[in-house]
Amino acid sequence: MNGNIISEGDYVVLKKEKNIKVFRVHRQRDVFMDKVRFTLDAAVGHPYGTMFEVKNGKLLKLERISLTEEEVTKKVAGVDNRDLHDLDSNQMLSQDDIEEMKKSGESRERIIEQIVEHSVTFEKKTEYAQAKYIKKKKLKHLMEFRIVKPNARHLCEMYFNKSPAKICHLRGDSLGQILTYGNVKSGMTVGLVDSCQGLVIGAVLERMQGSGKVVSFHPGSGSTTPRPILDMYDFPPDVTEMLHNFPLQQINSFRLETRSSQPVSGSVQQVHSVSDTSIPETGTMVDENTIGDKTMVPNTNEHNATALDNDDAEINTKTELNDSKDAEGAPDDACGLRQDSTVSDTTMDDSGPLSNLDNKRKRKNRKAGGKSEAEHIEDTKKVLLENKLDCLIIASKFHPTPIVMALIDFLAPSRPLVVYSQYKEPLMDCYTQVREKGGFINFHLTETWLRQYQVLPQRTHPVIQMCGASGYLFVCCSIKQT
Amino acid sequence: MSFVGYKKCVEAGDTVILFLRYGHMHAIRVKEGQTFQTKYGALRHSDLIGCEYGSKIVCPRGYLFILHPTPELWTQNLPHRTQILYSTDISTVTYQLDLKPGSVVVESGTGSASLSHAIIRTIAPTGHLHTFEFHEQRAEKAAEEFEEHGISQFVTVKHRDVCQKGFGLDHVADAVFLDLPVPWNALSSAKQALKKEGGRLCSFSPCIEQVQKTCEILRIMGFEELYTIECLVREFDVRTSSMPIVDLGQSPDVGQVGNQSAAPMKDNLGQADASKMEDTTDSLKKNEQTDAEPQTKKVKTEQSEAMEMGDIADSKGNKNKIDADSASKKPESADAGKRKITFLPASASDLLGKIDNRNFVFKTGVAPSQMPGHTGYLTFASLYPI
Ligand SMILES: C[S@@+](CC[C@H](N)C(=O)[O-])C[C@H]1O[C@@H](n2cnc3c(N)ncnc32)[C@H](O)[C@@H]1O
Repeated sequence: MNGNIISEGDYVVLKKEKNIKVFRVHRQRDVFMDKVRFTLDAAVGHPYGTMFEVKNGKLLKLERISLTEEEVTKKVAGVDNRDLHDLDSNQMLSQDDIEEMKKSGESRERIIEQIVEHSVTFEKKTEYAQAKYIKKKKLKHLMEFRIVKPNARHLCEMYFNKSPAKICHLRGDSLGQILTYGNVKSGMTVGLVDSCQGLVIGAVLERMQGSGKVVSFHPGSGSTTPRPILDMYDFPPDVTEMLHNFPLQQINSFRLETRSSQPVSGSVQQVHSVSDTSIPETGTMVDENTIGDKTMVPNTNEHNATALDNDDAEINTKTELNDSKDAEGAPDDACGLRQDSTVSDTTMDDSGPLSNLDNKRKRKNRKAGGKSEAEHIEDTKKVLLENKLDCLIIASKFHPTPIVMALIDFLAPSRPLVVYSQYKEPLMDCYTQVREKGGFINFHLTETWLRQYQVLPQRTHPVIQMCGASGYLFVCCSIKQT
Repeated sequence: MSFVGYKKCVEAGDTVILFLRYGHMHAIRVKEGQTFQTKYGALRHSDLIGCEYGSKIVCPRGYLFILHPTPELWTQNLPHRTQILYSTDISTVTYQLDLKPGSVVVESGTGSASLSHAIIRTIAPTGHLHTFEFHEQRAEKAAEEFEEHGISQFVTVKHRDVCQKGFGLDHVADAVFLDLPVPWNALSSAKQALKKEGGRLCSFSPCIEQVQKTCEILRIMGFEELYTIECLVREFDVRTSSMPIVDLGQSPDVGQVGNQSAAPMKDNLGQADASKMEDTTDSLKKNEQTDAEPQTKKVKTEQSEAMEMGDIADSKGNKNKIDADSASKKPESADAGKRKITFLPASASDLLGKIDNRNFVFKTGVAPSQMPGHTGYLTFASLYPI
């Protein structure tokens, strides 16, 4: 299977300028974008990055991008003289007229030209305003978008634009900084707390590509929590297998256990192999105790540990997803998944032919289903006992200080602690408390300032609206405690 | 050896970061028989060998910590041969170029290899960096550093003028990064280097005229989603500060002085916290005294860092209890809470701080009076398959 080709069962990102949506490709399943309904069937088999358009409810590969605003402006300037009386006639095209043109198979260029010609005010606009107008019309009337693979950048942008509350207002550049300051890379052991629906876990897994271990500490007592965004990354099994989960509710009792059974840090084995970073170590030790059941890792919520059947698991996810939406009162077209899932509820065509990926998942799920929650947690404990963490990342909606205090002893010396918060004050508290406790140096509390520029000939300037909220980052470095 | 994987103990040949205190670090390469002069006295390299990374090392006149090198620490301590990219821009570049293990990246110019180290960290062990530099010594020095840092297998350094000769790479790269005075001359070769299935490009330029021209050419060449940004970091100095409360004369509200707020004490700023505040305020004052001495280079976060490394910073006799070590021996907050704090009437407290001796005492993050105001414009673009 070529990973670069859009296949059934894939999660895909539809990008239409700032409008980004994620869907799962299923045959004959309706999806919606800008209130236009279509299916993704025709996308299957095309490479990622391909531009598509929707015409009469049909998805088609777009051979050539429609005119850039510069081109149209130039064209119209010529048209202006010839068809001046047309504009003078003072008639506007109705929405119906435009729909009619679209249906009759009129070319995209022609439609935009028509719209422009029928605008009473267009000729009075400056050249720049004209370009802007055309761009707006193009976005409105043409359903042109690219289908690309999901990744941290697209997913973060999508959520940040549409429902930032769900990802603790984590802006892309801040996410990038978390990964950089955490020194996240292949082969390491990462501990993290993610209240961003799996966005950060996914971003970390992406930077490790199947080599290393990630221990996700989640609130509550169950073996995992729903993380819809993590699913959207659509990781292959070797990546999701790196993920281990641990409920924060059990962290104190676990710390107590380890403290009484072992004389503090001394006997905790350190496995910081340098040379074999390319060899995934996942589950090597655990294997001995689980009779070769390598897929004991509770993965994404879709592979819910307790769910024996894929369909059940998916429905669980949906409920959770919708619940959380309601709870936050956020618009539910957050990412297009809602429509997708609503449809799948009714058609239930999950029982139909499944892609390779689905089959793999299903098989994996069955296996995982054989393990109890308690066993998963025991497995994660082993990971924590065998490895000191190479970095600890907290991006949480909870007050970070208690979490940090409970977890910093798992961090190896000379490693980064990275705490993100939407607010500065909890981080100042955390900063102060960590400093009081000792064992850390090189404290930094920062925010970033991100300014975008419009760069066009003769009209370069900062973009009028700017996002002033990057969130805050507290970073420091552990030292060896004596 | 070290930049792409952690190891536990220092060995000969390692690059080690010596952390003296905030903003005072050195990168040294450990060689048996050598010594390094720090402001706390001489440090014998051989004393470091076998020590665990993160250990405290005692010097004749103070102590320091030895840290495992990371690309970020390297960026802060590397020998400058050119202007370099710093971690804020680096993290944005890495993120926006979608770099991950396995990515193939083309970079020019190599310069001081600040960015190169960070790229290699992220794309190892399965990816590769092709970096181009037309200044021969810089190219050689970078190659040497990659060798010393155990990452040479992930990078090819080429001495070449990419504007004249191009990259000589055909459809191999996932991403291209340009930090050149005339980036537009390298764009067609950059396009040729990107994979057929498309990729990302970034150009870093300090001046807007360069950006202007680059964007123009990028559009002509069929790059899309042009996105030009500036990304700056603001660092806060977390400390306790205070402001005096003005005397308004006898209050008509009986028993209330100064701040008129009648809000009860909030739990989240309980007494324990208040006592800590008092502590830090004390030490702050002491530090302010030392800060009063003529000091030229110190600017931001200096005061609070001096608290952290109090023994060193105030070695001239100020007994400062708060340092990285003794802090852990402090009594638990419950005990601390019982300590006497002199407040004005109990009601004279506030939600964000405390009224203490006619002062409003509060924790705050102080923005620096001086900060980098511009590094460069980052222009990103996507190339898609035709
Ligand atoms: C500002 S430095 C790059 C710094 C680098 N990004 C870092 O973080 O260390 C720019 C480098 O580009 C090199 N350079 C300029 N023009 C070049 C060209 N045409 N071909 C190759 N290298 C070039 C210069 O010699 C200089 O070392």
